[in-house]
Amino acid sequence: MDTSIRGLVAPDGSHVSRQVFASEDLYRLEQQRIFHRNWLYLAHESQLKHPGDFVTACMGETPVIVARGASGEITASINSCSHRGVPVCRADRGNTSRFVCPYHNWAFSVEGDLVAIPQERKVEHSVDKKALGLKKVPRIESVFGLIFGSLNPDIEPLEQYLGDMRFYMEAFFERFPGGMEIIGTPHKWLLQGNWKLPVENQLGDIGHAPYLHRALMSATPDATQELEDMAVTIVPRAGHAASLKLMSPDADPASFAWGLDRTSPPHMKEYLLDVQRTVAERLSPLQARIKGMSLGIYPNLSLLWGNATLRVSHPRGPGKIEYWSWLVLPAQAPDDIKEMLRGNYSVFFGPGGIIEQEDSYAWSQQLLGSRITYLNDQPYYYGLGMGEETTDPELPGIVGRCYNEHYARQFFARWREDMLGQESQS
Amino acid sequence: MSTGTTDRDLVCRVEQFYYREARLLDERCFQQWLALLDPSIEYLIPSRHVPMPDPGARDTEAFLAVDRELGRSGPDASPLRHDRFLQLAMRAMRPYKVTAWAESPPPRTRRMITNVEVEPLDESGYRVYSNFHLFFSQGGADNHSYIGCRRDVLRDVEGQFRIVRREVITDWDIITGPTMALLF
Repeated sequence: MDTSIRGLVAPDGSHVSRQVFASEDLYRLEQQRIFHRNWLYLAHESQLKHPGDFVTACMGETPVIVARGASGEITASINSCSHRGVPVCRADRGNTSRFVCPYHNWAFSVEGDLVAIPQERKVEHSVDKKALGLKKVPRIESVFGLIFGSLNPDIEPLEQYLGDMRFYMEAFFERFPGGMEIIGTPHKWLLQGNWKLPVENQLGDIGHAPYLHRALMSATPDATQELEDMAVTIVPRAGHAASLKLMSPDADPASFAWGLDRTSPPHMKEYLLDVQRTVAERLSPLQARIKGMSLGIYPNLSLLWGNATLRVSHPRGPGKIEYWSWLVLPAQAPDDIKEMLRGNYSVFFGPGGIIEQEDSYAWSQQLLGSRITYLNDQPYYYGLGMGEETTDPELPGIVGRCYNEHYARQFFARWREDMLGQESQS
Repeated sequence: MSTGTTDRDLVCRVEQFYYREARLLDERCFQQWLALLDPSIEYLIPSRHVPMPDPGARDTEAFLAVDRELGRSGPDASPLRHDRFLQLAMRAMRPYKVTAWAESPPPRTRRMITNVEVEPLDESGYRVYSNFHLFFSQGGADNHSYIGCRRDVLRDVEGQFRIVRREVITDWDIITGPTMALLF
């Protein structure tokens, strides 16, 4: 397998085999080498305000319960009873002191400790309940309210894993006083396609917009021009990326304040502009000038900045994605403004969005091409703009202009390294 | 339990209106469909999730209330869609472009509308419940069924019904159709 993986992705990421998106064997290996080894997004702290609050999540194919325990600490445990494996939690979210397995009613605390076996008193030998808790996710760390977990106990600290990606995350998640919060429950839908394609798309493929979305963008030719002139994709560390426009220091805040558009009523405009004017002082003058487009965190978390949506691309076989998409809004915004901001997401993205309707169609169509084994000797070309990426005097990371695919080359180079990882070490 | 009308003529008119609406949508006449909408239309598709059972409501119908599973509106909800006329017009007009790639080729759809219940609200307004089965076929053998119910408010404007409000409730928590951006 090792030898064949080497040949699937060129070392510089410029060519990626179709099999990377369609092979069952590679998919199985990904579960071990990508999803068991990296930091994965689990939940947002705003969903777990009180002790006993929980939400369910997935780490690759592994179902987990993320909860705020009685002591206030955030924990995550695998959602499978230690007795016969049945999921102990069947709700998406809630508040509870106990999860009860339906099969024999073994009961677990919200932190995953086994607290009761109803049959225990009816048998003679005692059971060591301490050893039979739900298996814990060994590492949990948070940044800007985002909770990440890793199944790899030896993984580097999250801060190091993110590196300079934190700078771009902070520019979004701390932009508003009081930070951001998740609204409602995630929209989940099962898409045909490979989990890596939506990730790659939202990592930095800003150049697809004027083409795939021409039916929508043709009405605003200025937007395409602005994209080509100003938009950049920055890779602070291979696998992560931020796409954004850096506005000039004297740009009119009304031209880029987060959430603002031509339809915003006066009081909403005032609120959003007031916040924008404080960003330089609360964060930094450089972060204040960022008009963000998307953020991507390796391996499968994406944020669409202007459309207020956080999403995870969960793998469900080489040709299936369970896509989870959340609405994320400023926690302290007035209620009526929150309701108005909601449209920036649901009209365009999510299962009912007119832009994502086109994206998801393209992602499912890509799978058809990836399954043509006769073309296994014709890898996909990822070389656009190769070598044109550079550094920026202000922004941390490697910067490429619109249409430079360096973000994807870096992603697949890291994927290749991960997939080779264990065997090359042993 | 609220009582629906037994006015056969009224029920028949409402059914005929829905059949015609379904035919317009299946024949891809989305622009003509827009004419069936009241300009003030509110078109809502709530999100749906699996909540934790509420032990306090046990032994009552509230224990299994469908509403607990829906995210409709308000600052804590994230409905799948909350469209007004403008957004519906965007959706209706988009497919008629050469560059509307998600409709190239256009999906083949067939809508079955059943279980129509009509409740008069006032002189010209009606609350109407209906179920739908939308068959969706686009790419070869990749076919999908969308099943759900609609809760509408219709208004009789000079003998023609107009849709003032529509709520579409689907029966899945993980959406298995390719898109919810369709006109239900």
